[in-house]
Amino acid sequence: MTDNCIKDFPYLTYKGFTTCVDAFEQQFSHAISADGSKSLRIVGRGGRSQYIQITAVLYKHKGAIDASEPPEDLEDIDPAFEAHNQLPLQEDGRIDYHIVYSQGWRVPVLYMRAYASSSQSKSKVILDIGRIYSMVQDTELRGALEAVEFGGALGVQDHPVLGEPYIYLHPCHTATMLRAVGGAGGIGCREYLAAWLSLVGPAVGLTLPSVPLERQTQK
Amino acid sequence: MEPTVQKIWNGMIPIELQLAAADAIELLASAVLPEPFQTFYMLVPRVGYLPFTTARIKEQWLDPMLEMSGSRTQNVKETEFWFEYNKQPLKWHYPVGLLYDMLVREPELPWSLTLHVRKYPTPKLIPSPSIQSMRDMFMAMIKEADFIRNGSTKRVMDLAKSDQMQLLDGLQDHSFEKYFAIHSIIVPASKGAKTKSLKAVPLRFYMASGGQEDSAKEAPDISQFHVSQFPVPLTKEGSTDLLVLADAFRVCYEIDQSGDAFVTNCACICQGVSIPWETPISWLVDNFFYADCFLHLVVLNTVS
Repeated sequence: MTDNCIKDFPYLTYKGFTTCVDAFEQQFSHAISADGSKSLRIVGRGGRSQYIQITAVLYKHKGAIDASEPPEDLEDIDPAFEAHNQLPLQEDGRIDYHIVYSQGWRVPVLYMRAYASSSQSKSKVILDIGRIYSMVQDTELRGALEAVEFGGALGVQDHPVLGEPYIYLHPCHTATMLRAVGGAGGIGCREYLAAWLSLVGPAVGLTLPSVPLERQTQK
Repeated sequence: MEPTVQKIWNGMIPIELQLAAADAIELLASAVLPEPFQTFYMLVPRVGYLPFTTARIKEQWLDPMLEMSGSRTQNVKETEFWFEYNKQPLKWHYPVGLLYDMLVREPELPWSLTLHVRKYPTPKLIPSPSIQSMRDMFMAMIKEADFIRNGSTKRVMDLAKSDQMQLLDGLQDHSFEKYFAIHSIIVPASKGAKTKSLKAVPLRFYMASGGQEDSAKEAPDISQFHVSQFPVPLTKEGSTDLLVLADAFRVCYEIDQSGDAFVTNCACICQGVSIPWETPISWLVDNFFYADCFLHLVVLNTVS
């Protein structure tokens, strides 16, 4: 099966992006919402500026003291920490991740906003990057976080569709990273967003679940 | 006769600042400021940015005013300053001229703004404006403009650190010589070569949404402006005919070739000038760019 929807890899046209979005949704939507803490939806489908929204509800252990520092070495589990992990989980905010196409950079860009509570209405927006790292670190996403290398590329900018400030991962290295991963053959529409997200997602605590083989090979 | 580029660079907006009443009460126990501090006047370049004015505002106005009135509250932090016009917080990362063109319908000179030093309106505004964060924002735009023009950020990334500093200092100090010495490295002169080698033009349209009948009368609302960006070519597809402003608008908003309602009903303002819809984009690229190398084009409904 030839996949020639990406003619100028690693760069996408908007139309190519929408094809990648459809493929991504088809493959991952089910797996992403499987554990109940995340959901995926396409905003503005069919329009001129559609984007993917992945919402991750964050949990903390009920009754836990707000630790400002996570354990230094994750391998070094101590009994007190283990006991802490037995406490019941309660909702402790949410993070919205948006995968938006950039007309200027011709690649997807990751935007995100954290909220102090997981409810939709009147929740305090958190735009402080340090605070968001500690929010993610307090949850089960902690193991997936690889902050340092991409830490410098996080900034705050107006969301290109919504027009309000969001944290974003600067896209200037995206093309280089994708080329390195894609190799001579490049990456087709079916795998593009998964490949892209595997490169940029961990820096912001967003990792992809593994997907059953039959979904991957569906036409 | 002054070249157009220099005229654009020299464009200034006189601003008259007043301190928000609530902040005055907190700092001075009075809503009325003491003479001669009641208003502060400054001349700001159209291509400049508000965070580059806050040091002078603090040193020349707020600090002496607070000291003179013996106020104990000395803690005004520039990173908490924000500017308001008609009850709207102004986006500090937009060039001042762009803000004026978007929000002011009838000429208002001096432009009357309110300075706030408390209750920063997160999350409506990007937090922590400062000289450094403005410089970083600006560099991000310049890199994007470079990428759109050339397909890579090589020109900007290859700048010596000292040249990058000079570009930013030139912007901050509003020095034509400092700024353009480096600008001409990023955007080489020679119009013939420039036209041929440009992949696409960095431009953004800022169009107010809202009912056609009302928008000309209501006070403009910054949140109603939708920003649309599209890398526009210089010439029409498969020909050497130059793309004009109207063509760029059609490309950006996916309007049919024959669609021209906007030509009759809307005006396009750039650098304070109403640009005829048949102006070639290549001419605008050479003359009306902002310091970040983008064309920022405001589209307003003129039907009243």
